[in-house]
Amino acid sequence: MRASLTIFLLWSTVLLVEAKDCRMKNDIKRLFFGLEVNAPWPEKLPVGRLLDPTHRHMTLAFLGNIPFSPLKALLANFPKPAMRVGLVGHFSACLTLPHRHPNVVAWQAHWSNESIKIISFQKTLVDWLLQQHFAVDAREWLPHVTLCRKPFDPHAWKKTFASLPFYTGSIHLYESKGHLTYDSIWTYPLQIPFEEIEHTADIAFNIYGESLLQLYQHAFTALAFKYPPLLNFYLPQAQLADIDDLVIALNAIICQADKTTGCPFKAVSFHGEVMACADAIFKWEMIVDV
Amino acid sequence: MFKLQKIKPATFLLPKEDGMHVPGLVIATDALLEDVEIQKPLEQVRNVAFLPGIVGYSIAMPDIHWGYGFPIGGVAATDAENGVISPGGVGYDINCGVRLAIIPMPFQDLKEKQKKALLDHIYRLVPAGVGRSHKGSNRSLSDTDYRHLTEQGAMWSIARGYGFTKDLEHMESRGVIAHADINAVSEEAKLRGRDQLGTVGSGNHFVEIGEVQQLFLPDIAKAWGVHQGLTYVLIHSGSRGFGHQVCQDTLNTFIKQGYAQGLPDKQLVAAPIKSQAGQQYFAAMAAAANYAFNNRQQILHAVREAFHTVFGIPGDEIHLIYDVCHNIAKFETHHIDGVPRQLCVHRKGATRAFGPGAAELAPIFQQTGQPVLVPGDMGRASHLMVGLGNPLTWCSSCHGAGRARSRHKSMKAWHQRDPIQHMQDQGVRVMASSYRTIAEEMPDAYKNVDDVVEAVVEAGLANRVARLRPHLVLKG
Repeated sequence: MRASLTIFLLWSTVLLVEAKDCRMKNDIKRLFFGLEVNAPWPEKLPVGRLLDPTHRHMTLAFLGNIPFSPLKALLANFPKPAMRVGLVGHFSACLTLPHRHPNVVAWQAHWSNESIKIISFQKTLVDWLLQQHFAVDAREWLPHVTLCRKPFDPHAWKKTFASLPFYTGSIHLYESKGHLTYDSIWTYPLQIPFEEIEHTADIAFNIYGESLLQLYQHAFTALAFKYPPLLNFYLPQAQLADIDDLVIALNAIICQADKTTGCPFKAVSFHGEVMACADAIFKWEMIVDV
Repeated sequence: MFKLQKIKPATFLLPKEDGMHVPGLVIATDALLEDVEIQKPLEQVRNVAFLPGIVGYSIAMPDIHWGYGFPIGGVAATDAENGVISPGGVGYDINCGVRLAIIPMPFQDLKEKQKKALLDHIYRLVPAGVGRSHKGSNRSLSDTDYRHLTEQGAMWSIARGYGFTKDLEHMESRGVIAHADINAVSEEAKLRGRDQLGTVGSGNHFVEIGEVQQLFLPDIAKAWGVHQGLTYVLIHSGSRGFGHQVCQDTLNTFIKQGYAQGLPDKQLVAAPIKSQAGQQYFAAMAAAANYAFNNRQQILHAVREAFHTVFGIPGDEIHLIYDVCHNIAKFETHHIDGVPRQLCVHRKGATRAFGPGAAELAPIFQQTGQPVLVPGDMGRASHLMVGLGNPLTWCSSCHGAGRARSRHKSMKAWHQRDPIQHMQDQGVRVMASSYRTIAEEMPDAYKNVDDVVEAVVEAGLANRVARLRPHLVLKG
């Protein structure tokens, strides 16, 4: 009788430990912080195990396989980024990473001037994670978006690369589910820099930004989404006095492009005023005559 | 919501509100007004009525849709002495317009191989689409060329072998707007247009070939040399980058000089006609308008060459029926309360529609009234009409079908579908340098031009002469 009871207790203990292990195992996730990325992705890309466009992202800090619960408890103290609106830039090169024995093809991201605050935010995030004793890579950040995993032909990828604009949206904690699938399990929301809206005759966008200069860069990127060769004609602006200056500056780019290679836009119209939205974000409706 | 009052068939009044100098007038059928998109353009009709010196009405045609400042399909006349001139009332594409020519050959005689060869030839001779120009050829315009072509209008091209002197009789204002001055045009504008003469451009511009499908006024059609079943060519293009830059330069200047103050929309920015700024704009606009006449003249010449190569038809047997401007400001004399007054008539997405007897018209059109060209979408139809000279609209009519669906929506609707094959299945062969252009310009993106034309007829602005059915289309 006593022996049976001992065996029962031992067996129950084993079950409890296994259940706890199982719970812990279920809590282990392959995690990383990243930015959602949008670009006028080409419909055709060279051969490789391609990431679906909806899963393409820009990693900010890779955490690896870790228990999620402790991190989840810390997310309330997630360091707040300085920006409230997503950022813009262009892909400047095609990389194969890591350099010696590449596993992936990635496009390197080059930020616009008004977007470089993301670099200091990435460092802040890494420092915060290190303070919380997470093992993250503290080396200099190489902002990039992975397009495909091996097998791939690096020459084909590099040969067909052409610069494209991109914008980033919200910050996410992503879980890598395997098979090139990444699910967002937590989000720090940011306003996207622009969105196309309906316009019967022309094309139109809502442009968002935290300053006139940022509105200018976001408006330019919106145009470059429609016509990527426009990237070659970007004219940096030191300052803009008002929305009329912004329109004139955008039209100077269109003029330059039209003179050189042709341009599908006739002009950005002097339409609307800059409006203040919530959270000190400005909005401007840009209408483009085509 | 704007409340319109029906005052005549297909004619509605937009009553005067505070700030409006004149009421609005909307030409439309009840069915066309059911369009949910009509409110924004109506707001623009109201805004245009704020322009200093506007007379009569702020007018909207049945193909009205939202534009910058002025609606597209808008007409406004200002007093030539005390009124203003507004670049927004002309549009970016100054003297965007249409020309129609008739080929003395039944369309049904064209064999499939010949149709393809013809379209291929035209595609080679007439650059179309973004970045396609005459760059690298010997057709770049020198400063001297610019000076002469902007002063002489279409005659400049004709004198260089692009067409025939008889063509001039078949153009609005004989293919030249007076008082053009190249010195009023920026270097940027000249650079933009230097290699673009004789090119179609992108967007909704095109070269279309088809069949005269149906005659409504056989006598007038006969007088004009238009017969059922004949082949036609319709050309839609404007002043390309040259005109766009003229408009842009002027808007930049006007806005910085404060000419938008007091207007409900700064895109209506307008300078007094008699001011230096106003005079300079008119001189530059006329230069761009004359560039556009030359552009369409040179495109027609290329089409004539293609017909000669493929069918052996001499160029002078391809008769220009008419060339109309639909983005322009012109000085015209109209009667107000029985008194003749000189007005600056802005037509933005609207066509002049002089009736019989109008002094400016060539003798043949003085008999009949002026041809009015109304291109529809590339699948259904275009129309040849005759103007009735209706004083209510300052002798103006519509300019096309008008968009019903945004480019964005069109792209989505045709995503992963083959629009070229779809058009081919409808009996229309389309060539374009860009898939996007075709998807954005599919017939379902436009109102049915038959409905628009119906409103014009009901309102007494113009009458139908012939319905044209497209078969071969070159887009940008």
